[in-house]
Amino acid sequence: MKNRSRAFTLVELLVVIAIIGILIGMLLPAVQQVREAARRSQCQNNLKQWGLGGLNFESAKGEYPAAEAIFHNNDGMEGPANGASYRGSNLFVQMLPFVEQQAVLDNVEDASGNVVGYDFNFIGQAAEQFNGNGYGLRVRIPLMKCPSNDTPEWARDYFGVQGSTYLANEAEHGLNGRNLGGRGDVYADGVFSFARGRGIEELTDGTSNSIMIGETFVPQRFSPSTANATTFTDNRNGWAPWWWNSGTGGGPLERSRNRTSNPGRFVLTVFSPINDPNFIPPNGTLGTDDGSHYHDTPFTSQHSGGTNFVFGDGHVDFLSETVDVDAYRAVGSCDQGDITDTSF
Amino acid sequence: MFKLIFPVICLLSLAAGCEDGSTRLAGGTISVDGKPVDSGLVVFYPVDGGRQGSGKINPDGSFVISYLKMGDGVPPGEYVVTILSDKTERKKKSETGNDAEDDAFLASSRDVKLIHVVPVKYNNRETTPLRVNVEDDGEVQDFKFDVDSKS
Repeated sequence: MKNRSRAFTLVELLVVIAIIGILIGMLLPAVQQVREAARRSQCQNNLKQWGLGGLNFESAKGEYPAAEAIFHNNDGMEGPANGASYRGSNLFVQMLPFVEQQAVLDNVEDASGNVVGYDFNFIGQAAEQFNGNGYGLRVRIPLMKCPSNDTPEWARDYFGVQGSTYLANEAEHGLNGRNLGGRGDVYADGVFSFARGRGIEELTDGTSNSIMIGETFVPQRFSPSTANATTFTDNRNGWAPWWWNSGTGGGPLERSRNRTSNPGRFVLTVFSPINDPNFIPPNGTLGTDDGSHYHDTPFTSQHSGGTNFVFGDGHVDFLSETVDVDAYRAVGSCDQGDITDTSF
Repeated sequence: MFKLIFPVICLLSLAAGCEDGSTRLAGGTISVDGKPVDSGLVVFYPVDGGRQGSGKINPDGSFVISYLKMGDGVPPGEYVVTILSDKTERKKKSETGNDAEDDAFLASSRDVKLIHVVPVKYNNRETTPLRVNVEDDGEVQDFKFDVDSKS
């Protein structure tokens, strides 16, 4: 009898287990949320670094980096008006020395594995290296990855902001904008314009009112092609590898690289709303199955409810996916004189 | 009794919560001079502000509007509708001899002629004449837009 009173009954045990179960059930979502919050803040930290990198770049060079470094081509027009012009490094490669990643550039290798380095001040040489050999910057740096995203390890999760205003007519595009037909438009009113860097004084809407870099996890496009299949297989899925440089001519490798040299691969626009489901796999197909409107690829994230952005002044903010279309476009442009509603 | 009522109340309040601020299914077809448009993008811009809804034009000219989830429509209200449908045509021969590859690169707009399948004025929120009202009644709303190519 005495023994019996000291033991737990089955019911008591079950009750205790049930209570523990309920407590765990209550705790688990909270833990998951904390983990996601940590990932989100890691992402914000990465963006902060790129934001400071952009500002440091501006201090050193007098302008933010161009979406891709461009050389004047033979007819003297700014921008790559034809395939013969050189197209250099994307904005992230240009910013590497300003986010303490100079070593990555110093260790650029050619195709045979010789360290040739990367002369930051002479992009032509760099473009030549990349054009000829193509293997340059295949180093993965964590600063390029948002930990919440399930993009491939080599894919780049951060993109510059190219602008906001939809310009239907070719003639409406300035020197820095190009219409790329059914693939969506290239915009000229964002912090990162296509052919040249913008000075900080050109951000007339105010640096704190203009988004500079944001994130996305959706593929930008691409139908499979033999050129891609034989070289960078993964590219068929359409994500942008971060190290990719631009270039023209050459073998399949270079051509496949050309495909990514459209500015839409380094910069995105605010034409489509944040987390636009039309672009998000598996159901979203825009920009992935037929190549249409890939320049309109939205900023997206796997944080719930919105996307992180770093602004022109280096501050990072989380923009809700239900943000008003006009407010979003106002922060997306940097020189349109539109009033930015900062209440989101 | 309470055991029965409580879950019912919970379910009801949940359902009511869903109803609030939710979207109404919307879609339709796009044609130019009576012929269906086979690609492009339809965007519904809310007149009273907020996030836009959009949908891709399918090869048969149909589209389904998405807001926060694929195919979920848009919140009821008035919308300005834009239609984007452009095609490109090469002006000169591909440098690599592979048009498909070059099209992905699209060396420049000078090499490529842009054809507006749907006239330019429908591209832009300020110039499009299209307005729709998405009703609150919860039924799937079908919008047919037939555009005059000369407009």
